[in-house]
Order: sequence, then C-alpha cells, then structure tokens
Amino acid sequence: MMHSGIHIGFAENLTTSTVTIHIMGHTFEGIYTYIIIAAGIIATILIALILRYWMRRGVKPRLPPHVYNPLEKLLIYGIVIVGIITSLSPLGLDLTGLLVAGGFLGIIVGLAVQTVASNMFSGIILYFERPFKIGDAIQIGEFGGVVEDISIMSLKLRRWDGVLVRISNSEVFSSRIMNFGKAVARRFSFRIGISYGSDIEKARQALKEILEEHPWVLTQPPPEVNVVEYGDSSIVLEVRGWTPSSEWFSTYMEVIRKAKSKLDEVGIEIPFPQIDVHIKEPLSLRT
Amino acid sequence: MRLKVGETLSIGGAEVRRSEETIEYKDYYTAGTLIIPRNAKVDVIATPPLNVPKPKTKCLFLSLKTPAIISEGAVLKFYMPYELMVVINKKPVLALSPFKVKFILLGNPIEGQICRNYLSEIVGEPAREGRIDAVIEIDVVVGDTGLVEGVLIEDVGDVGITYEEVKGKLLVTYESIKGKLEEKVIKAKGPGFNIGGINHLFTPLKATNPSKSEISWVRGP
Repeated sequence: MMHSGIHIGFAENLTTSTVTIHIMGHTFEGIYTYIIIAAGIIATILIALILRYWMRRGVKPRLPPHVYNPLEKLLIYGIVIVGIITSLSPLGLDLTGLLVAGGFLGIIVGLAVQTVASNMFSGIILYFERPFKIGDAIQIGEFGGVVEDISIMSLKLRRWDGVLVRISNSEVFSSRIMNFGKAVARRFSFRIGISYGSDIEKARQALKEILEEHPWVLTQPPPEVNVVEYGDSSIVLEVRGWTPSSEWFSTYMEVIRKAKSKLDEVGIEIPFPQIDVHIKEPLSLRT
Repeated sequence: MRLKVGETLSIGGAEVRRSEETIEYKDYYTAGTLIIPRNAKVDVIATPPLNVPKPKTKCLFLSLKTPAIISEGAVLKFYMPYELMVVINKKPVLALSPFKVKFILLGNPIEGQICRNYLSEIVGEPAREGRIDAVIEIDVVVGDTGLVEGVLIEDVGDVGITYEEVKGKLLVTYESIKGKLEEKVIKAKGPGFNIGGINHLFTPLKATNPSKSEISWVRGP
C-alpha cells in the first residue's frame, strides 16, 4: 500500500506482530518498540509533572525558595534524564559507553563540587533540623553573634563586634551550636573573692541586694550568692542570677560592675593575691 | 490629669516636674529632661504596668506575701501596680513606674514565660494612707476551697484602668475581674531551680465591675 510516500507492509508471520513501515523511503521495524519508547518517555514526563505538582503543593510552602528551587530542578531533571535513557534502551543503543562516560563525568563533577554539594545538603538538613533562625543569638565554634541570613550554601552571622561573617553550611553542620535565643531566660554567674577577714554574710547580703534591685534579674528562679571556694588569698563567692535572654549581656555587665562598688560601700575588701613567706632561719644584715 | 507650669507630680519613685519649656522626669530606672512647646498640654495618666523599663511581656504575676486558703465564691482584693504615662499634646512620650520593677520566669527557661512580677497581698479594706498601689478585685467563680499563692493575669493590658483627680489625690481604678483557682506548674524542676514547685494561682477570666482605690498624689512647685 502506498500513500503519500508512506508504505506499510505486513510480515508473513503475523503472530510475531512485527510490522515493517516505510516512511518517505525510510524503513523502520518494530513499531511496538517505538510505541513502548514513546510511552516510556511520556510516562517519564507525566511522572515528573505529577511529582512537580505534588512538590509544589506539599513541599514548596514549607521550604524557602533558595532551598526548594534547586531541589525541584535536581529531582525533576534527574527523573527525566534517567527516564528517557531507560525508555531508549529497547532501541538497542549501547548505553554502556554513555554510562561509563557519565560515571567518569560524575566523579569529576562530584570531586569538583564536593564542597558545594556538602554545603547544600548540610543547608537542607539544617533547614529541617532548625537549630536556629534569623535573628537568633548563637555561638558557632569561635564565632558568636546574631544570625543575619541563612542560605542554601552558607550562614551569615553578624558578630558581636558588628563584623559580618560568612560560615559555610558544612562547617555549621559539623560545629557545636549554642543558641542563646531558644531560651526565654538565661543564667549569668561570676565569682568574686573577699578577704578572709571579711564578714561572709554581710558580703552575701550586699551582693544579693544588687540582684534584688535590678529589674531584669528574675525573682524566680531566685538569685543566689554562695561560698564556692576557700582560695589561697580569698574566700570565693559565686553570684548567680537569671535574666530574660535578650537582657542577659547588659544585666550581667551591670551586676558585675556594681558588685565591686557595693562591696566597697559596705566595707568588704577584695584582696590581691597574697603569699605569706616564712623564713626558717633568721636573716642577718650585712653592714 | 493635667500638669500645669510649675507643678510637680510625685508618686513613689516617679516624678514629673513641669516648667515653661521643659519637663524633667525620673523614676527608679530613668531620668531626663524633655524640651516641650510653650503651650503644650502635659497630661499624666495611669496605665497598666507594661512599659518600664521597656515593654517585655503582657502578663503580670502577683506573688502573694502570705498565701491564703480561700473558698469558692470568695471575692478577693489584691494590691496591684500601675505606671504613669506622660502624654504631651495627646501623644504618649514616656512611661514611668512609681514601683520597683521585677520579672519572673514561670515554667522552664526554654518554654517558660517571662512575666512582670509584683509582691502583693490579699487585703480586706485597702489602706487609705501609706500605700500607692491600686487595688484589683477578683471574684472566684469556679473551683473548690484551695490555697492561693499568686494571681496570673495573662494580658494585663486587657484589664481596664481609669483614673481621676479627687481633692488632690489620684483615684486609680482597676476593673474587677473574675478568676478561677487552678494549679499550674510555675517553677521548673532540676538543678538550679526550686524542686517540686507546683503553685496554686488564679487565672482571671474577664472583667466585671470597676473597683476603686485611692493613690496618694503630691502636687506642688
């Protein structure tokens, strides 16, 4: 049968369902193979579209754009590429070479973007784990400050001295993180020595007064002043108080500053380190 | 309450002094001077205690000096602090506290709640002299006989407060509120905390009728 340059001929053995198709002078055998390939590609695209639809409805609202967008591209393009390659396999294409080349390329790219990928995955894990959020006061390793920005690759921290620091997510992920903003209240404590000749109760009372007078030192948990050590040169008192987290630093600085003047005021001496030297044999003066 | 040129208002630790072109103010936590227009209208109004030293929380916890056993249907009166808002030409410019301000942590440091804290007491007939606190009245509407150790007002801004000047004294009025007696863990357990602290307290529900209390008010140059 000839029509418009297309010729279709049926093979002798119909049970094998093989068909020879002539199109514009070209001949293709095994139309079902092509149908399967086309169906495979269509199915791949459909799966990718359904997955994208589901992700946009279910996942996108929960993730920030800088996390979601690359994640969506990675998954969708990955599915489409793998699906198309798999669909083309009935053509008898030898994909071994392609796979080997892809493997090598993957290794090379993997090595090249190892840090990038590490940062990205660390960023994703940190996002779900949520150890901190923008605006939290945190300490990561040696850096302490306020979180300014969190991206897929890094964290920007405004240090206490105002300097902006960029820390890669992989570094954040592997570091110890202290989040001062997670708690509504935070305790401060410091030690102060008084001379052995001082009245301990008087010193305790004086230090307690500072804590009780300060508006940001919470009444509960109650502030404490305890004797914690009999040192070489002084009796060591420890002062503890709780404050709202946002007022911790200013309160701590104010209380520690007032402690000295308050002890001075009530006549309690803060001694210098002293060493009593005992000489076994009397000294003789040379004239 | 209008403050005229040359007048000084002094309640507890708070003081506002008005001259022709300035107001001087101070309380336990702040002091300063503001330049004002010559014809400015300077008013001082009573407000719920939320702003000094700075706005931090909406809740107020009245700790009782002496806990009390009360029964259902009781009507209790508590001393309650307030703040003074200085308003210039109808614009609030600063808040002063006649009282020393303290805060308390209810619950644990992670999930707990920071509240303004005031050491109060249950009063029969509020003292007319020698006190500057206002009084709040609470009707106990539900619950059995029980121990009361404190009153938690979740949003003190919701409690109505009015004031008026009567014969040189400021009459500060808090609305009466209804409250229920309940147990609530307000002290965290663990090292550094009081152990085993379940406190019994009131959680007021809603405002009812106004109660009145007189506050000493000193006027003069």
